[in-house]
Amino acid sequence: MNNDAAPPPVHADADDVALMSAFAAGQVQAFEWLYQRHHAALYRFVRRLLGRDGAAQADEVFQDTWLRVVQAKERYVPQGATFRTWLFTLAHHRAIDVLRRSGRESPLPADDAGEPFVPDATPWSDWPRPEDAIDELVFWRRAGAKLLECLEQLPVAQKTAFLLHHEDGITLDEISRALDIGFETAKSRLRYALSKLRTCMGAYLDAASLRGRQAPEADASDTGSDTPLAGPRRLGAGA
Amino acid sequence: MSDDLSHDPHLRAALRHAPDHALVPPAGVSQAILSAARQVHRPARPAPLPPPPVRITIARPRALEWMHRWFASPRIAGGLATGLVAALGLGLWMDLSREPVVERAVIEPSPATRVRDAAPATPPAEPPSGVATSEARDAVSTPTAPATQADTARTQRATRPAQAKIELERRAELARQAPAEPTPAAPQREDNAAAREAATALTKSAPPPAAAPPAQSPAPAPAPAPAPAPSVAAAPEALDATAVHKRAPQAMADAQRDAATRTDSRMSSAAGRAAATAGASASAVEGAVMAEAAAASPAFTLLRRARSELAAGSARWSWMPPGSPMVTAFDEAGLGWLARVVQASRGRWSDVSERAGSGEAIEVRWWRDDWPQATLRIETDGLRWVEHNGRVRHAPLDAATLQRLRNP
Repeated sequence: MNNDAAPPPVHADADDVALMSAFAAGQVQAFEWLYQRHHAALYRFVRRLLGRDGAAQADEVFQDTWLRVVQAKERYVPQGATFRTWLFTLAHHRAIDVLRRSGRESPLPADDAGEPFVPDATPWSDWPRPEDAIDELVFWRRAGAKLLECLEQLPVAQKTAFLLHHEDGITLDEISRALDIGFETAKSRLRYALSKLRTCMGAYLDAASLRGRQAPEADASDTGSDTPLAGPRRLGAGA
Repeated sequence: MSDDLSHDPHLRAALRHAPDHALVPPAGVSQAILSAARQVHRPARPAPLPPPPVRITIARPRALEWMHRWFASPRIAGGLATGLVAALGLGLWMDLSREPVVERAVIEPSPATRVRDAAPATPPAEPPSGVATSEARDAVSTPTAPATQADTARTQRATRPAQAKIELERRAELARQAPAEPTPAAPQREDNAAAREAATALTKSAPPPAAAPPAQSPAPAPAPAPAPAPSVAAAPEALDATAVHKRAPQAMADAQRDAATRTDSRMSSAAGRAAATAGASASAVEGAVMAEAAAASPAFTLLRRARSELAAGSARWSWMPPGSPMVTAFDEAGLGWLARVVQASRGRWSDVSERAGSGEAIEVRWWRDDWPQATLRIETDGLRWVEHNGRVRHAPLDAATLQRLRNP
């Protein structure tokens, strides 16, 4: 990055790379805009990745991730990945370090070998029927709480793939490059994660129960996925 | 990519409505992050130049510095520490293995004695009363003229026998401080006290002649030699202090010989000590041992004790003279007669078991404050001394000597 020439001033709506370049050039405001843009999503990602047992280290991981960004302002080069992918990858590595240090990093399952997934638990079935819900918001809040419980059961690698893909909209290609894993591996981890989560949420996500109910704010515009959603489906082995 | 890997709208909807969706990092964390970001872009101030390092060097000779480093090295320091600990332990061990010397402290010469030792060329004169107390002699000997150090050393070498006598006198004074009443169950202790008294008696009964010229150094004591048999003509001289003084070293030698001839194991040990110390006769300690050996004579012991107590008036002595049924005061005449007995029987006493011999005998008894002290039987073949504690000793004498003793 050339620091000799002063970069043009950036605005709050500039993309991440422009803000990062402005920050590296000495514009502190650019960093603050970056922070405001990504801090909440990154904090959720760290909290969900560490789980309930690692909630105490979430602040540490979160702060250390941003400090690394500050320290790497002049070395940052997009290199085919977005700033968001790079940011979440930094957080992922730091979270893995914390989990390893605390001994809570579960070994990777045999999902990388491509073996078929076999559910090892009874699908969740205590969820109240949708028609009994007071309104849509209450229904989805309960579904979100249940999903967090289901996430606790996922290995970190699968959890990472799911969160990066579904929460933060990072494509599988970027995930594979950011985590330095093969594309198939990334895809396998995501597959296993979705399969387990659907099993865990099966009763709630049953097609019959969800008939006529659309996922709120479900549009394909912000997914970045290759295949747009086609509506409620029967998912999960035990559903 | 299969449809299963596409975004699940329901899972995404659940994620967006999860309870933690509205979570934000703590304000403190955000503030710290933003502050760190501002800090890296704060205009750099010219850092104040650090003060030039001041090198404080102490002028120290190179040899001292080398020695300091040498001693400070762990190996040398450890070795020195080990050596110190070993020396300390050795010193403690040697100190524990050494016997305590208590008696040495007792026989430390008194200042008065040191005064006498420094000027022995002027022997004190005998008090007019004939009672020779150490205080009186000290009072007389104190005003003597001081001698030079060389003269003092020469005089000390020449008057070692006199120093021995002084040592004996001091030991006798210590003995007088002990309880005067002997214990029947401790004859050995009584003998020791008697030995001290005998030494005192020797010293007191043999003061140097008052008429001796002050500049004349006393003649060295003659070597111990076997004393001739006492004669009746010598008996009056026993009361003469000058005569007794002349025979004092001989009496000590006789006492040593007496101790050497003991058959009793206890007395043999005393005689052994006396014989062992006879080689160095000039030593005061040896003189004390000789006096202790001389105490083997019971008559001598009684003589010295009675003389000292009569002089001090601390006890009342009485006796039944030979051939007399009457008990009279034990006066100078009695002391003189007892001195004859001492002279006649020196070196001849030995322990026996019989309290009486065969044949006729004349008994002489002594009382101290009306308490019987001893009985002397003048038998046909010698003298038999029976003490109140039951100890019996016998001294064989010839008939002529016994006959002279029968006449007080």
